Amino acid sequence: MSAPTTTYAPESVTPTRRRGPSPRTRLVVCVVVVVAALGWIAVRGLTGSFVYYLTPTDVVVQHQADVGQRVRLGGLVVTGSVHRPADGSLRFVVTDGHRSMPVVSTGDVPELFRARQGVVLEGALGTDHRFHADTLLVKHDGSYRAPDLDR
Amino acid sequence: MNTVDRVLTAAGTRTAQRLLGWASVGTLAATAVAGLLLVPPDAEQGDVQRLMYVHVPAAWLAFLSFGVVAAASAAYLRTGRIRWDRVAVSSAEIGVLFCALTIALGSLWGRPVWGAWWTWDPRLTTTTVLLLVYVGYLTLRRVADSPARRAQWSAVVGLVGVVDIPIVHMSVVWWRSLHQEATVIRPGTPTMDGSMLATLLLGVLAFTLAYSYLMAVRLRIGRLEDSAASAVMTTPTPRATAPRRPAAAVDGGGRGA
Repeated sequence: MSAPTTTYAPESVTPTRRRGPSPRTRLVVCVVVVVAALGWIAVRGLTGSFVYYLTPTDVVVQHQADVGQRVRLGGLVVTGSVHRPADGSLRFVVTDGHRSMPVVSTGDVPELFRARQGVVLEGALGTDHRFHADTLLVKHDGSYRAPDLDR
Repeated sequence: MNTVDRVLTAAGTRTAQRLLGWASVGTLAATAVAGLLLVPPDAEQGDVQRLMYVHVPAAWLAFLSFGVVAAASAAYLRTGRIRWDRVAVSSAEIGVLFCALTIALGSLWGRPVWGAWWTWDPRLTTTTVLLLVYVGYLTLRRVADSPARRAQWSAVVGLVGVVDIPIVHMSVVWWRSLHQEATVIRPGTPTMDGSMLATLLLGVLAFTLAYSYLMAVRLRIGRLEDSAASAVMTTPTPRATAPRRPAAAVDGGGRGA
């Protein structure tokens, strides 16, 4: 490398032909991606298929979940239904006010789990007509109170 | 327009920036003291609920930033003035930062309370879409090959992307979700003790001041970048001023001065 190279000019100012799609095409692609993402949410939302969890009514009456199909089930924990048999699982009943469903949960139990609390379960309906959940999520409401105001 | 000009000019001065910086440091410190020491813990969730005093202001700031991106993008498309593009990109960068922070803080809160770091709940999903739209916005700016084209393309995305903000806010009402519903901006009174609400509003004020400070600094950087770039473009390059050499085909193209 003996030739003196002084090529530290920043970049060519002369217009050069770029490879790849034209600027207009790239703009259209970007806009289409953004609009498609937002449109997907809107359509899924409006058609009601953007459902985070099924209710016991959805499962029992409308049969929206097959046996063994992995779904989420949401509802309130029925008072007095919570018990822990010797096999280490947690058993309780969730209700949406119309229908209820017995649940066998084998995953971690969050601290805030208790009766009358909203829960979302991930698992599948078994042939024993119980919902077998491996994940138990606790839904809390948006109210915040100091402890000494418990009445 | 003239009022906006005056605000931007006033925020650009060194004194204004120092003032905004100290005001945000002061209110952030006050939020930390109030949120960690003065306010009682939540009766159900305990101390982990104190994350709310940063999670909610961060989310508010993401909304504010992307709202400003949309307004500045609309202003750019109307007037064609590059200054609005600078406002938009500055706000988008801050918004991406705080949107990511919102998700991270929410994840820390969700693990002990819900029992999961992450779940594809509508609120979480639409917030992720919001983050991706504005990450895409910043990516798009690297694709464009001229400042004017970059400003125009990104203004379109900045304006379209804002549609997701009401979707994120209403997601917990429109769809079944794990995330709790709105506590403050809702029909009826806030479902929160007075001292907690006051601390939360203090946090919102502190984050908003921090946003103003970051915007003022980022806008100045944008101005300096643009003037530096224009200086480079108008100054002849060393090769352009050097005497022509016969064997100039070192870079393969053979393009001379």
